Amino acid sequence: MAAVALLRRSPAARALLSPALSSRLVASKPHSSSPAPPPPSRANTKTFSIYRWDPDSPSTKPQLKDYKVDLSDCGPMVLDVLLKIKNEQDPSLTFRRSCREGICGSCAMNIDGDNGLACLTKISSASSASTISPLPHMFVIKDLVVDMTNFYSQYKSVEPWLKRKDSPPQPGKEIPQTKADRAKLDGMYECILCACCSTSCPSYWWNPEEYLGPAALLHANRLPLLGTLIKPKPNMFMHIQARGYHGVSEKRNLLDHKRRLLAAKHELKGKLYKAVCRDPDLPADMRDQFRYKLSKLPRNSSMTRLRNRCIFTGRSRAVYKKFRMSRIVFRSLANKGELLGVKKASWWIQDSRDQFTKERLDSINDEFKLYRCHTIKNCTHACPKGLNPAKHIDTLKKLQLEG
Amino acid sequence: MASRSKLSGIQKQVLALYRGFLRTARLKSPEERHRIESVVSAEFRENARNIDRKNFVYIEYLLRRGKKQLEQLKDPDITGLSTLQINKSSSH
Repeated sequence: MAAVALLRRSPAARALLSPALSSRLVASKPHSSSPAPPPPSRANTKTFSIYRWDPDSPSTKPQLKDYKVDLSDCGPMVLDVLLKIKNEQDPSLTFRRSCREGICGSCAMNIDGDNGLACLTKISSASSASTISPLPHMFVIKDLVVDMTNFYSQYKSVEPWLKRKDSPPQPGKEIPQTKADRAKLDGMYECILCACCSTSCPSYWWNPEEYLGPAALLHANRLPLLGTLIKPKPNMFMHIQARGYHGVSEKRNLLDHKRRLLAAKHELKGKLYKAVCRDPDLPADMRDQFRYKLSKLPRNSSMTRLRNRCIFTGRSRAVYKKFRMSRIVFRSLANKGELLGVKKASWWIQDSRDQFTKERLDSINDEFKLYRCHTIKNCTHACPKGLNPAKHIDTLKKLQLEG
Repeated sequence: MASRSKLSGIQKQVLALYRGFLRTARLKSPEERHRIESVVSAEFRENARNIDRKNFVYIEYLLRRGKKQLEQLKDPDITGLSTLQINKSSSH
């Protein structure tokens, strides 16, 4: 019977067939592909709330519009539902789609709160309505279509191509690579730039311009890392201070400096008074008198009121005594090679064929471009291809640190 | 001028965009420059008249679209700008 159904290619049979198929395609994406296929019953309708906004009718606000779809007469994936709605109910529904098999990355959207490709995400078996909205925190052009300009320009900024200092071993031929070197690229070259990962990242939401985002960084890691700077940065300290690191740094450093001067001035007196107070051989009233004098010294002359601060930013925590600067300034300066005696060792390369590793690493070494990643790992959760951008960002960070 | 109240951020952005168009038009040939200026100013005037000033979603959308068009216009290979009238009532 099943075979007959298969031959006839009934929708129900296709729905039954699909788990094996889709589990191969999206094995690492349990959140959207795990639900069981919809039960093959007659007239199995489900409601889909789809985000609608049309720039041509400016008076209407963005809204969720409900569509009822008969699942028994529809393919298993969310993209099938969208196509069905467009064909049968509302031809004005707009979305990007192309390959319908997770290769082009066009149909990235937010389905029931998870970013994913509509063509690889199965229709949820829950009876409640499914919500389909554009990728979060992106500018909407129309309905489910978002503006990817910023995303693509960030991808461009990592210079995603091989850069060589010398010509290939055989002119006009490809550059050979060992199998082990090639294996290092697994998990990176599969990225289809669907933007699911970047738009699922809270850090990217708050700093979409400065932070490169998981997708671009993944590619940065693939090619031994970025080329030239995106935009020239003013003097490093101005940059850090302009970002408002812990308020006005100069004032607090001045305060601390004054306290140090005061402490030095009163050091001898204070120590003398203290010695008298603590000497058990002296008469009690004399000790009391000196205890009183000690208490009348300026409060700020006490050693305990001093705080080691970063001389550049005034940061009070994670200040290296030896360098008198905070970890952040230390990292930037050390990476620039501006600290005498502090040097990065050697550079390890992801793609053995690229020869600009160091330049690439330097250009993403930035508060925002790379270090806005706080390893939230939404990107890994969202990636429809089962890649792990967070891991590669981590590799990048490690490379920056250890050299 | 002195009596005019302070402009909001989005108003400044719109004016900056308009200025950007005028400046870019200066780089094109004189007759094209004239045409670009008239097209752009007609578009701005029409939108200023017809759009509800509190419809920020739409104004921001138009701003982004305008910025993109300006980027395209800045390309030295692009010489001119032309418009197309679509009769909406017949297209539906």
